[in-house]
Amino acid sequence: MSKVDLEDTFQMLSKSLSTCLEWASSLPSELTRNFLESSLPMQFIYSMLSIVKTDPDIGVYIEFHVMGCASEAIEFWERLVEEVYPKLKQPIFVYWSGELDVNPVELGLRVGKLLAKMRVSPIILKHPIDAVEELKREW
Amino acid sequence: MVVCYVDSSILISALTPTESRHRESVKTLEDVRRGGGILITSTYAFMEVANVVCRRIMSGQWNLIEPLNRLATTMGKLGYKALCETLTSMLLPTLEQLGVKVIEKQDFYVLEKLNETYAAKIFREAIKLTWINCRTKDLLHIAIASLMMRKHDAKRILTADEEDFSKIKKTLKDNLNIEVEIVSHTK
Repeated sequence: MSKVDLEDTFQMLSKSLSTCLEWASSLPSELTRNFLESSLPMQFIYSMLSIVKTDPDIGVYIEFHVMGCASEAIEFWERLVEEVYPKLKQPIFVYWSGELDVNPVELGLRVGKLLAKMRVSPIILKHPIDAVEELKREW
Repeated sequence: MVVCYVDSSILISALTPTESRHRESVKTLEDVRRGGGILITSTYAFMEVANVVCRRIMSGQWNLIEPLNRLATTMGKLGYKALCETLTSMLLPTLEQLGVKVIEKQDFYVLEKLNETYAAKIFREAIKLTWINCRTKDLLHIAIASLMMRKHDAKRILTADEEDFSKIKKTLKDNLNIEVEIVSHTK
């Protein structure tokens, strides 16, 4: 992950968070309070963009877009889940724009652990299914 | 303390919030754990789950919610192999979080004499149980549960497959002392 000038990055992050806060202000007060009360530790200040989004199944979640490779993004995500998620209580997702330098098995295990910590299943679908029918289609 | 064998239908149901019995499946698993019980499953059941999940996502028949789909799309760019390896690995920690332990025993694959030939213990057990009269996939789950009953004192099978297991529920209880708990929509 490319570390940029801290001052510039902080300003960019502040701007980004302000946009998020503005958006979050229109949401129920509890969420807004949670969001306002939480602050990202300084060590998380990298070149990134954060966006607050909603999904009908998992509710409000936060996306971080990291300009770095997958290994750095996953490390960053792990720290976010460890240190920020307990305060926010909203699922956090991190995406990367750089190289995918983690093998799929390791990536799956690490992301699976992060999702489990946030109580987000890796197979949340947009539509209903019947497990028994799906299994029977295979036999 | 009851040891329950969780079959693939319950695993998929508990992992997928939009599955029609999801709430009931999660509650059943929680109730067992709350009561001090232990939840186990087999690599066979896990393989069934992994195969269904991967095949449906690869074919586009299952659509993940946006934040998960974005991850899947990233992996999908590397090909189906990378996508499936990632998805399969992602499932394990979630099962752990649900309290379900995937158990495998080398002993299940030891070759044993079967008439004039040899068969892995697991298949020998399944062949011995063909009189139960059920589909092959269910027979394998029953054979595993039967072996696990001896190894881990598993007493109950948790399944959502009402159609197949309701027919053999009494047979399993009377002959193998395996209780079948069927999780249905209306529990």
